[in-house]
Amino acid sequence: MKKVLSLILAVGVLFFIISFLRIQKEKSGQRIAQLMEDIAFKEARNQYLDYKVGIYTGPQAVIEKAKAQGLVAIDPTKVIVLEEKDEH
Amino acid sequence: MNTKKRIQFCGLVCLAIALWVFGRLFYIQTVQHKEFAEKTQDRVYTQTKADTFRGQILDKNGVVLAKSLRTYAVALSKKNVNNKDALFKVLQETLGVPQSKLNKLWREKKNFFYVKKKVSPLDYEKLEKLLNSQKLTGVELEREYTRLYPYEDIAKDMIGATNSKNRGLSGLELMFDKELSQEAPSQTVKRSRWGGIIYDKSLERELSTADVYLTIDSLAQYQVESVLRKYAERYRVKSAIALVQEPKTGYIVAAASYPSLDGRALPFQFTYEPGSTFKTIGAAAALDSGTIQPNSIFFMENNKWNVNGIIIKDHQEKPWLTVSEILEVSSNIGAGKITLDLGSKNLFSYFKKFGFGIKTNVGFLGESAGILREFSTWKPIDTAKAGYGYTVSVSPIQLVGAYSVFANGGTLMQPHLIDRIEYQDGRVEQLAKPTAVRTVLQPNTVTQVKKWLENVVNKGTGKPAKVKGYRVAGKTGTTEKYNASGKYERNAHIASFCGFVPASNPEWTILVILDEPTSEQRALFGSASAKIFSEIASYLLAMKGVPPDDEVL
Repeated sequence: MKKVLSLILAVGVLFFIISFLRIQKEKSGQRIAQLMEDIAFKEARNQYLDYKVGIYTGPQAVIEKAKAQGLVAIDPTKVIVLEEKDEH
Repeated sequence: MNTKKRIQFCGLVCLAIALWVFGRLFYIQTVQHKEFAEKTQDRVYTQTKADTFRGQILDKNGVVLAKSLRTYAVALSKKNVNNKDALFKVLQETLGVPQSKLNKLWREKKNFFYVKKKVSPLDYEKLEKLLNSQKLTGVELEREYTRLYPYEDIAKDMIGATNSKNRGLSGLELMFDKELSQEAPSQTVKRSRWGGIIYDKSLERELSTADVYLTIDSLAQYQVESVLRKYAERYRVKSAIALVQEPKTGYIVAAASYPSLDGRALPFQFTYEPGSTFKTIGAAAALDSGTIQPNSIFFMENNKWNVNGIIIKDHQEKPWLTVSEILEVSSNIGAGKITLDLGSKNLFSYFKKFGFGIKTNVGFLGESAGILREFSTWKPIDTAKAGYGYTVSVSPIQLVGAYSVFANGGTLMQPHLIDRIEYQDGRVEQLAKPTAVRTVLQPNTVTQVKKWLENVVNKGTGKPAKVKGYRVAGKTGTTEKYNASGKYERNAHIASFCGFVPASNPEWTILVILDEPTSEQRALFGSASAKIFSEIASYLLAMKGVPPDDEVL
């Protein structure tokens, strides 16, 4: 009788542990999914910021800003190269 | 009942309860399994949205020209909105959507409606914070991917466009759709009680998109497009083209169309009768074959040359012209006589060697092969006219390749627009390698032709193409256009200039074409195209710091 009760108790404990681990797995899964979504969002935000940097440093934006500051595009024929390029 | 018996009785009751619980669990999970599984299916499982990931298109230096970013679509579900006024205020503040628009949509839609799409991650973050802090409900946020172009319209004609599902519709986006995009189909996922997704290893996806690198230099492309647009608007053209190639490698550095439309890249798709820019081809062929010599002279027939009953006219002051002078003043009679002496068969053979009549396989959709009829169908007048660029149709990429032959010492190079494709797994598919298609001219022919072309710029019709401090070689061209009824129109022209710089060691071959310029008389004679060439060449030379090669500064 004692042995039967002990066996039933052991099986019960085993089932309890399995259930506990399954619940923990679901909770961890939810947390991981949330973290992955957060990472994906942060990556998207960083890429968006890179995209904005690209726009602000693009030739169109730089030329407009330069004009607004009173800068004038140099006549390319007035640029004189003083040294030979190193071809090696 | 004594203590021992009481304990035994309690044990039996507990055992009975435990057995009942286990029995009930067993019954639910086996006998009633199907019934409960169906009930929980909708509550526990959900479908993720299908996505299409997309790689980038970049220039040769890695400057991003097209990329896909994750953005969001914001929608409202009317029945779940708990505070309409506060919600509208938040939407106006974060997304910039006017209250009037929100009110209108609220009145017109039954329940679900989109407020704004392509919301940036920054605006999404602001919105989510405010919604959470004010505990506002009824907003649904959907993830989507949007194609963005950091340099805006640069190379738009070549890059093309994508649709709302992130798939290519035209241009390079369509041509490389398979390499650029990766479908991520909808997946069934488990959802927690609070609505969040529960991670499972099967949800992980390996990215297999690729990035496409072009041979284009984005800064050069920007400058070329700016200059072309400026003059195209000034001369009120129907269309305009500028094409820049490295003659030694065949790489396309810039290719601009005006107007610029998605996927309509005129440098590869346009065809036209090249006019006087073709005189160089005929003269080079005749010299290379020994039909003419560098110092050959030709009689100008008092400006009216009868070829089997058809009169070819000119406006020359001198009765005799050398080959150099024929090109300098762009004499039709002189050019016609050169090619008639060469003969239709030889001329046709050289046209084929230069790459006319077949596609260059530069790698762009819809590339034109031009039109080159078999020489057996040519009458003598056709051979003469071919000498000054009529009765044959070419594409800009073919003509620039032909002039690159003069620039690089006599070799037709394979043109390239796509440099390489880089995959996420690290593989690199190198598509552009300098490849010689064939030797077209002998070195001493090329040396002589270069001198002729420099004379055109120094003494002839190409003077507007000069660049201070540099030797320039090139040829102007003006063609009357064919109209719908099969006749040449006197008032509709194509004006062009093709040349290379610096002439002593050419870095770039540049072609400029203006289709139906209307503003200035001068434009009709290729001078405007030569001026555009000069401006483009000046920018490129300054950008790359090429030392001057002209002795007189």
